[in-house]
Order: sequence, then C-alpha cells, then structure tokens
Amino acid sequence: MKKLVLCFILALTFVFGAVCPQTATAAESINYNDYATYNWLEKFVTANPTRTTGTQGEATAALWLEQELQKMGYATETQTFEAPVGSVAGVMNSVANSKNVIAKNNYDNGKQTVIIGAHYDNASDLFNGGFVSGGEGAMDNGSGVAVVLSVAEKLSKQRAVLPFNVEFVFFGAEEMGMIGSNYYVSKLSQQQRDNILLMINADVVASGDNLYVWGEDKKTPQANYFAQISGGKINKTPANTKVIGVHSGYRPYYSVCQMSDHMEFLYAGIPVAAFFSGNFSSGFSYVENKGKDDISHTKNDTINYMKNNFGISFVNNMETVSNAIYYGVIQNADSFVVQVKDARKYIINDFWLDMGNALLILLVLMAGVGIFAYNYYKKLQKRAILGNADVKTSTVFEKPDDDDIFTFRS
Amino acid sequence: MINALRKNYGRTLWIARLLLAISILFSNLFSINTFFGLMAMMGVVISNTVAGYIIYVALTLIITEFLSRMIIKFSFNMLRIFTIPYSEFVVLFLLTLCASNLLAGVIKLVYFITPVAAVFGETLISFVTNAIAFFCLFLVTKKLYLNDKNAPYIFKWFAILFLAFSAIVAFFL
Repeated sequence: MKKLVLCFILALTFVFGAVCPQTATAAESINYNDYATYNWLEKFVTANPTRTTGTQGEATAALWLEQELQKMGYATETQTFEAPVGSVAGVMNSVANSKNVIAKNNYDNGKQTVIIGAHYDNASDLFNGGFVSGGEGAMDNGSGVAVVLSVAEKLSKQRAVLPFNVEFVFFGAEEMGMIGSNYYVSKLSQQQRDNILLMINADVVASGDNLYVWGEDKKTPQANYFAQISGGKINKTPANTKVIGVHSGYRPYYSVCQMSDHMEFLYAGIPVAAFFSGNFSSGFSYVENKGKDDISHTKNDTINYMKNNFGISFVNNMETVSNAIYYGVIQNADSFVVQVKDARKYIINDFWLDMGNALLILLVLMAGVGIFAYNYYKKLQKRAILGNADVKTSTVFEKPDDDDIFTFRS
Repeated sequence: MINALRKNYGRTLWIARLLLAISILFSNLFSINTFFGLMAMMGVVISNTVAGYIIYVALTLIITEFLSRMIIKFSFNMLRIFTIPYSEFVVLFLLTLCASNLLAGVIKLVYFITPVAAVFGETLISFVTNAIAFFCLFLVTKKLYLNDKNAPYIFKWFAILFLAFSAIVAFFL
C-alpha cells in the first residue's frame, strides 16, 4: 500500500514537473521582438513615456518621430499650434504649443493623397480632476503610432510608384479634443480636401478584444474593403442599432464611442477609415475588453501590463492592422483606388445627424398639430351652437352578471 | 369575449397593462440600451439580458401608469370635468398609449434598413403616432361621454395638455 502511494506521488510529481516548466517555457518563449509593430511600440514608448499635450514630453516625442521618419528617408515637416493645457477644477486655464508631424515621400501634386495617421500624445499626466495620471500610453496611442511607423517603414523600402501620394501624419493634442487634427484640416484648402482619397486613422489598436474598422454610420466601401483584406480579422462595426443614444450629442452611433482624429476629417467631408480595438457586446456601449476595466487613460496603460494580461494578442492586433493597411493600400494600390474612389458619396449629410434639426422639425410639426387642433376646435364650437346638450349615460364597462359576482351564501 | 371584458374591469385593466408592456418593449427596442447606459451613469447597473429588459419594461409601465393616473386625476379636478368617468378613461388612455407605441414600433422597423433614421425618428415618430392616437382617443371619448356643448371645451384642454407634455418630453427629457 505504501509503495502504491509513493508511486502515485512520484507520478504526480512527474506530471506537474512536465506541465509547469512547459507552461513557464511557453510564456518565456514568446519573442515579442519578432514583430515590427511591437519593436516600434517598445522604442517609442520607452523613449517617450510621458507625452501630455503641451509638455516637454510631447515635444520630445514629436522630435523623436521626425528623426525616425527622416531615417526612413521621408521629407518631414511640422505644424505648431496652441492647445489648452493646465487645469483649475477641470477647467483649462492656459495654452501651450503642440505639434503635428508630417512625413511625405515623392509628393506629386497631380495625384490624390491617402493620409495615414495616429495621435502620439497620451493622457499620462493630464490634469487634476481629469484623467487618472500614470501609464505610458502604450495602448492609447503608442499602438497606433507603432502601426503607422511600421507601415511607413515598409513603404520606405519598396520602390514601386503608387497611383496616389501617401502622407503620414502624427497628430498632437488629440486628448485635449482632437486639436491637432482640427488644426491640420483647417490648414487644407478646399482643393486639397477634395484631393484626399481616404484618411486612415489608427487609435487604440492593441489590447481590445476585437478589431474594428469604421467608415461612417452605415456600410462603406472602405470598411468592407479592409474587413475583406484582413481575412475577417478586422470587423466592420456591428449594426449600430444597439447603441443609439439620441440625446447624447451630435452623432449618436459608434463614432461617439471612438472619437478620434478621423472625425475632424469626416466633418470636413473627407472619407475615413478608423481602426480601433474593443468590444461592442457588453450592451451599454464600447469597452476595450468585456468584463474588464479599460486600460486607456489609466496607470495600467503600459507595455508590461498588456504583456501580462493579454499575452501576444495585443501584438497580433497591431500586426493585423499594419498588414491590412500596408497590403490593402500599398501592395494592392490599384484595387484600393477602385474600391474607395466613391467613398465620398457614402458620407452622411450632417443635416440628418443633428438632433437640433430634428427638434426644429418637431417644433414645426407641433405648430401644425396646433393649427389643426385650433381649426377642429372652431368646428366643434360651431356645432355646439345648435347642438344638443343631452347628458350621455353610455359607459364602456357594464355591470357584471349576478353569477359573476361573488357573494357569501347564507 | 368583448362582452366578458366589458363586465370585468379588473381583468380588462390587467390586459391593458400587459398590452402596454409589450408595446413599450416593441416601440423602444432600439433605445433600451440608452436606458441601461443612463442607469449605469446613475450607479445602477442593469445587464443587457432578458432580466434587464423585464426590469426596463416594468419600470416604464409603473411610471407610465402612475403618471397617467396622476395627470388625468389632476386634470379632471382642475378642469372640472365630471362627465367622463375616471376609471374607464384610464383604461382607454392606457390602450391609446399601447396603440401609439405599436404604431411607432412598426414605423421604427425602418431603422434596420437605414439606422441613420433613428436620429430624427426617435424625436418625431413618437410625437406623430401619439398625435394620431390621442386624436382617436378624443373621438372615442366624444362618442361615449360628451355632447355637442361640452366637446369643444374638453377638446381644447386635450390639445393643450397633449402639446404641453409632448414639448416637455421632447425638449427637457
């Protein structure tokens, strides 16, 4: 009996000994540095962990991006603008400079332009009463920057001439209300706006449960295209009948859940494709991961936290988006142009999305009902002059039958 | 069956409540999540499940009936309306709301085809269906309880109250 017990314990030891080391080896065996997007994420976030709008950290990050893009061979330029900063009880009380970083290559004024962008500022240390400080902005939006940098790097190595210009734009001050992208769009002439084939934005594309691409609050050719080119790994935002907060503001659909730099382009009538990761199945609205707290704008927004909680999946997401953009836009440039050349027609007229217009029309309808009611009232008054004044005794309900009435029998 | 219902007020009232509950759910299929979101913002987490939907319908039904009774009672007293029996009118009122919600729910099915319609639809469809339904309610009320002399007065206040409450709901809620 004792021998049997000893053998059993020995066998268990072998089993656990076999399993646990393998599990530890499996975790250690993920080589994150095999992935270009991860390398860019690590480089960017390590060099620039704090990138709050208007701070030296953000300025340093802008300079870092410029230098990296120049190393790839791009001609770079920057746009400097003012953005609100500081806070007293949550109210911005001063302004500081922020920057957009732009990279172009072999720009041809005769061609249309595809803009591929991401914001590089983060919410690591915003203001008292505002975002929770801490975190290095790995998810928001180191991931987007990493994706765009990896696409830029791949493009810089290829020789083929594209049928359109590609412009990489890194926006500053997005966390303060898309200030950088607003400034960028405001500086475009109408001809330049008309000449933009598509604006592609990558924001929080790492550790969310699912990947999404959004083009408008309806089906769009660009969303269909990228969903298809990704082999189904990127989803079109699901039917937006679930989240309709009609009193929540200007656009009551998923765009409200993911307000980012692409919206400034959409407001200007430029078609967009916005990539982001998250989950729409929780019922209330967008979350990053079902059943978990979001990590964006928190101290958990770090590479180590994502590694420990999401493993390789956050890198796979970034790689998927990077590949979808590179293969979809650059490797299959002709097909891309055919697919998205009419994307502008799918932009919904702002008139139909403005609650204020709906309320105006309601006022008109109420006035109409009021006029009808007044006329009908006048008609009733005329009839009342010679009408009868009999008291009506009809009722809807009748006295119940005796059999239906419960009585105590004596 | 109609005769049986006409002789049993209690049963008819419960059937009206049940129909109203179904119509509330049907009419608000697209905006239930807005309700869940609002409750979550107030610290009350209701899950997006069957139980959550039941809670939504029950709450809406209770509030609707409570407010309806209160408003009807107050209006009848203030406007000195004694020719319309209160209890019967409450049942008719609930059935009117039911009809309005059902009609609104049918029209809102267009959201499946073009979800953008929800922006205008959520504001306008309910008002239009309520206007139709409450006009029909007045016609039924006039036929049952009113004569030519008191009909104009009742209609005037019907219209004023309807427009006032529609404005409050649309612009402030």
